[in-house]
Amino acid sequence: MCDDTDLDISFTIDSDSVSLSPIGEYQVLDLEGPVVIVGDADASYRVVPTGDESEQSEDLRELSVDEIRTALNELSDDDDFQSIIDNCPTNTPLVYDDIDYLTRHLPTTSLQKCQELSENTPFKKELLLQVAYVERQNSLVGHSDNVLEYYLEQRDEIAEKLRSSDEIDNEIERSFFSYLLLASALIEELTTETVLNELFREEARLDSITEHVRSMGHAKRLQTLCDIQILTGGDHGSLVDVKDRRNNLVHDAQKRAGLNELESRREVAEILEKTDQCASVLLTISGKNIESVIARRGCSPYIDHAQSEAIADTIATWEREHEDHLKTLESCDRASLEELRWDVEESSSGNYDVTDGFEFDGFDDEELYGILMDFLEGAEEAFLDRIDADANESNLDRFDFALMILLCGEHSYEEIARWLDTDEKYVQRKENVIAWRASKFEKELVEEIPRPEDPTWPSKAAEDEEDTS
Amino acid sequence: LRRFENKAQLLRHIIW
Repeated sequence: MCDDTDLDISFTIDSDSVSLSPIGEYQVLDLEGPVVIVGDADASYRVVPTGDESEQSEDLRELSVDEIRTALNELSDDDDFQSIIDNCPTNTPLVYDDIDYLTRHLPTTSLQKCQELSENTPFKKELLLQVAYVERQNSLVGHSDNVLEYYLEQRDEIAEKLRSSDEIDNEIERSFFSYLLLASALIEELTTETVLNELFREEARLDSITEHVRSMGHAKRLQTLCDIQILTGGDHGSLVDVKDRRNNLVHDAQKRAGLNELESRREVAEILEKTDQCASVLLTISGKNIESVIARRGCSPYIDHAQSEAIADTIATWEREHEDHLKTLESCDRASLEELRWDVEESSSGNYDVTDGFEFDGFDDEELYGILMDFLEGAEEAFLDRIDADANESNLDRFDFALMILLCGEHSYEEIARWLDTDEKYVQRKENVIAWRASKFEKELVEEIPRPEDPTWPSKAAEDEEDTS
Repeated sequence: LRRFENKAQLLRHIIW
């Protein structure tokens, strides 16, 4: 069971780029109205005006900071309030008022609970709904659910133990078992969410339906995702392997003791890599980890918009945190800061391929170049944040938003399917529906929404492949 | 309700 070779373990999920906001304490600030800050991650929630300006009035900010602060603290353990949260949607259309939307969406029993809570507490029913909606938004995996955080920590722990040990000992067995349980929990949660998003329309996504999807069982959920072809046959097989391995180790103490006959550190490392690849697939098709693929492959109009906003965000940050360096950049004749753009695909950390906004001919000032690269490092982070925010704001589900941006980039179906861990047939089906699901918000981002044009008959090679499979 | 991913996004929208 000894294995002395150096282990090179490479994971698919990049913990630096996956959007992580672990559970934190809420803080409620008063910045021209209430703002709810979540933990230390700088993420925040705020009610913004919708509709015509003529409809807006001064009482938009009537929800007081103190009331929201108290409500968030006092209601967190209330079962009735939790059931209201569980029935809230995860995405509401941009043009509608939240309260108008929520009172139509929520089941009558939830609304009655809300009215009763309002009668028995100091809180108005509108405030209760708004706070419930904050809680719902923030409970999404990757927003503020610790399963992803714990998974990545456990993944790093087992990888480190494998690298530093000569053989598979009890400590590695325990660590691997914990890793597999966390990976399974993450995968099952994301699978449930994906089934709910892909098979049920917004008006049907109620807590009772979520429970129905949970009661289907994991194997059935995976098979369903494979049947509709959001999950490829190969990925489905790998996910079933993870499920079987987890079940074997949980239900069979003998197999657990020997990690089910894994004999070398290399074999354990390979299982880690395959399991991480499976979790990565689910993070992509559930729309949780789409920012980096959009940044690299998105269509030009969208990339220009998002980088422009990211540059403005970075200038705002540097005005406060790096004032001297910002002045140096602004006073340089070669730089047009607002016009700065970079090619993500050709860039690496600390070395950004500037395509606009800086004149490099005859430039040899190393210190200024270093400041420019630091600025672009901040801009790259703000760029991913901006994509994240646009995907949240979009009327489309996050996975559909990613598909739309990539389809506008005129890539082939096969390429898009590969980048988004799905089947090219599913990409084609989505193209059929995205045009009429897209709203004004999406149309302004990409200029022209993709639509089905020209028939897409399978190639002869694809037919032959079907015949032999 | 809108979610903002960082301080600059939030404050520009509502310049600390």
